[in-house]
Amino acid sequence: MSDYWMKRRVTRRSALRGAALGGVGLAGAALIGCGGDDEEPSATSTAGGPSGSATPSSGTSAPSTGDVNRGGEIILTGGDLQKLDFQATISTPTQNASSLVFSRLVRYDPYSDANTYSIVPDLAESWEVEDDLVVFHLKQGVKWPNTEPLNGREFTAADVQYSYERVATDDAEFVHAYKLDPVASIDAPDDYTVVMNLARPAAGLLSDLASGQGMGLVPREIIEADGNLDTRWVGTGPFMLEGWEQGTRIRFVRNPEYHEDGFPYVDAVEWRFITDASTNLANFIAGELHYYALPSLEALDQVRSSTDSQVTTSPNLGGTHKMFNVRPDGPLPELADVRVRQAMNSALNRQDLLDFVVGGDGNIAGPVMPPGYGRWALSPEEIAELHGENVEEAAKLMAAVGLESLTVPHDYANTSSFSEDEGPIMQQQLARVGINLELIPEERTVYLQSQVDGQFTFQGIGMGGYPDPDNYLYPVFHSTGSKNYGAVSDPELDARIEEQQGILDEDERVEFIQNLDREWKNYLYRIYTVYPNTHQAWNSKVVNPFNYKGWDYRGLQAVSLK
Amino acid sequence: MARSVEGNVGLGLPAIGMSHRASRGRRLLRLARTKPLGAAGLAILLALCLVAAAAPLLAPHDPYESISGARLLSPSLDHPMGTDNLGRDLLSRIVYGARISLLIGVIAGTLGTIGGMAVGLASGYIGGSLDNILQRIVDSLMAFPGLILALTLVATLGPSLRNVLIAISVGAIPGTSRVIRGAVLSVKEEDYVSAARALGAPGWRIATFHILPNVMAPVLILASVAFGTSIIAEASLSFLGLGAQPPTPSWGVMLSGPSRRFMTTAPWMAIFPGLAISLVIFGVNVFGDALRDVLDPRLRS
Repeated sequence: MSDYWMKRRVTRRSALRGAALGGVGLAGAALIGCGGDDEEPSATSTAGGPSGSATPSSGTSAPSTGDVNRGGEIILTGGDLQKLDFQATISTPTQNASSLVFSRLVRYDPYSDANTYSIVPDLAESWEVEDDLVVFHLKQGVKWPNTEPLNGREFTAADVQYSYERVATDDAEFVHAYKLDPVASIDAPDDYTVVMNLARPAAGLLSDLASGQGMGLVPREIIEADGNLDTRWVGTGPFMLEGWEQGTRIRFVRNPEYHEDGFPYVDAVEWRFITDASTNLANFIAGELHYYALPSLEALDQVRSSTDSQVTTSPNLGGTHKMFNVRPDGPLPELADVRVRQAMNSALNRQDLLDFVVGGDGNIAGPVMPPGYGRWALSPEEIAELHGENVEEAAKLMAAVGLESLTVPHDYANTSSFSEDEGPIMQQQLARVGINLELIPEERTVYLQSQVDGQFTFQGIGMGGYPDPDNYLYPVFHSTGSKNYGAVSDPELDARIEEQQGILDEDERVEFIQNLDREWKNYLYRIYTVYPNTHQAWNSKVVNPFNYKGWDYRGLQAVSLK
Repeated sequence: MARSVEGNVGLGLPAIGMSHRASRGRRLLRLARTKPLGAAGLAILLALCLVAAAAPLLAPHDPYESISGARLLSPSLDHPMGTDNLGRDLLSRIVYGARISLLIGVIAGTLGTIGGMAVGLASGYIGGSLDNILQRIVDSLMAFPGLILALTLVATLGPSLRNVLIAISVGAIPGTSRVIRGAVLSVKEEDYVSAARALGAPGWRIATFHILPNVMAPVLILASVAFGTSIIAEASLSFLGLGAQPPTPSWGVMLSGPSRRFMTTAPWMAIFPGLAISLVIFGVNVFGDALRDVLDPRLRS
């Protein structure tokens, strides 16, 4: 798993806080920079760009700016954006595209291996973390594009304050607000210092800020003029939006004023909105695409046999989970009884699901932490012991509840091939204990709305990868979580989630999370089956491919073409 | 006078009293000799019925069972049509899929034909405002291509085999009603109808016992066409995800989804259901053509 973000203990805390609040920002920054002999080095300032010493990933590394073939364009594929305002949508294509145009305070190192989420600077050069505040020091001389109404002005701490205050609103449209729940207030004591005052310790905050989901830094003048970010995209990232043809493509061109000298290498990036897997595979093999996340083992075999593509295979952090609606007045009140959920969990043969649904190309899921979580997750042996098929136990549980049979509607998005394949196998397995799984594929907008409205019973829900456990546990399972679609309200689980948020020592927190994993059968508000591996394939002409992670395609700035 | 109850006038067939079985057998033989394609089409449809009826005997495996170690196997002696991505035997699924096709063909075809007959009969016999209203509704429905109409109905009702049945049946009504209405308008001016009316027979009795038997000729053709188009419509709607849902072994379902994803690595997943659908379409078309050729001249005479 990722290196934990680093903190630095400040011995003159009161001076630091006083300086920030009193507006003597520059003096406070100097005091921080000076720090005493017993202070640890400041938070990593490993730059992901040309002048730093970025940690190379397996087989890739950030190149120097010298000997690079510049020009050309990168062609990618993916779904269409539903809207442009990435702070007000959950749409993955929107988040992915926004990472090219909008910078963040910090980001994930694209050159570490696929399951290592090292946090590296973006517009924040360094930072300090305490229990009750986080201070960011911004890179100086970063400019907005020289277009109306920004006119090339400098990016400042006020922009950070504005961006995050816009996100952290009660307006339900701003779906990423939960990431800033721990933040009580944000101050900008000077142009290059941002102070986040925390309502509670937040072990996962930096990971949330590094995410490409909703955390881009936005231009106040444009939002005030237009009311939103749905019309104009202007940011400090390596690329600028050239045009968006709905249903066809979105295209970006290099930002000549990008603050990292020498980047990007290519002139343009184009996303083509093609969702048919066969078409995408054919295009990739024909060399029409430069990058493709291969959807299956069969696709991987074809690519390997017919191209010289560079492919990275890694366990997945995200996957398709099975979510119970445990509302007392929900459509199936029986699911509120943990024994029924335990019965369903025990009746599943995950090895069969792995073999049939993904051809063995993946991992059996742990109780709650995905295998891609590295040290946060349990070992395969322990997972097999805790999570193995036990039809006898399942039958006993059903008998204990007094149920001879139970019909459980299982709805999922009709665009999910994984759910389409998994459903019939689960149906057969659950039928052995009297559970009749009714498969209901739904049109995507209906499916998404049912989550918000709570109009589902047992739903297959796709979840992206969240590098820090808290990024997942809190919004999904805490009674106040914004993604708690199943209406989980469990005071004991709430308490455990809150407790892990305050554990800043990584080893201690890993053990805490693993214990939660071991005891997940007492909760089982979601169950997990298998996680297919991810296969990231790059065209052989691409130099310095990176590992896509966390809704972030920023690594494209250092990609060039032979 | 007996013509009105014999029901054979429209067909120009021999009157009651002759050997129907022998004449029918001779007609079939003549059909097979003069219309070999039509005979082939009939044979295909009969084979469909046979396969559907004998599915449990013909299918070597449970069509829903995922067989361990049998994922994406190419055709072999163990699995003559191969297996799919979930390890299910394709031959078994094709055989059981015939049941779904037959079920939809028979039920939707019958309901559509009966519905069309009822509308056409009422519209033609009663006439007046009812005729105007019914025909304007029929005009509106006929403005849509049949599959689009069925698609719209299913999208409204929700995707399921039951709703596909309803949608296809409703879609068949307008065309059938038009033909029946025309025939009724012609027959209701006949002397025997006037005679029945003069004798005081109520309207429903005249329509049921005097008019309906004499407009049955085109019904045979319409029913056969409805049978075939219903099968095709079900396969189309299931392919689009609006009909039978996975894991039901409908040919249309088998042709969509996973078979497209595995087109290059396991083409048999698409080839065999596609062949089955193509064969039935061919059979329906050539049999329907032959039937029209045989029956239409008799109607004109």
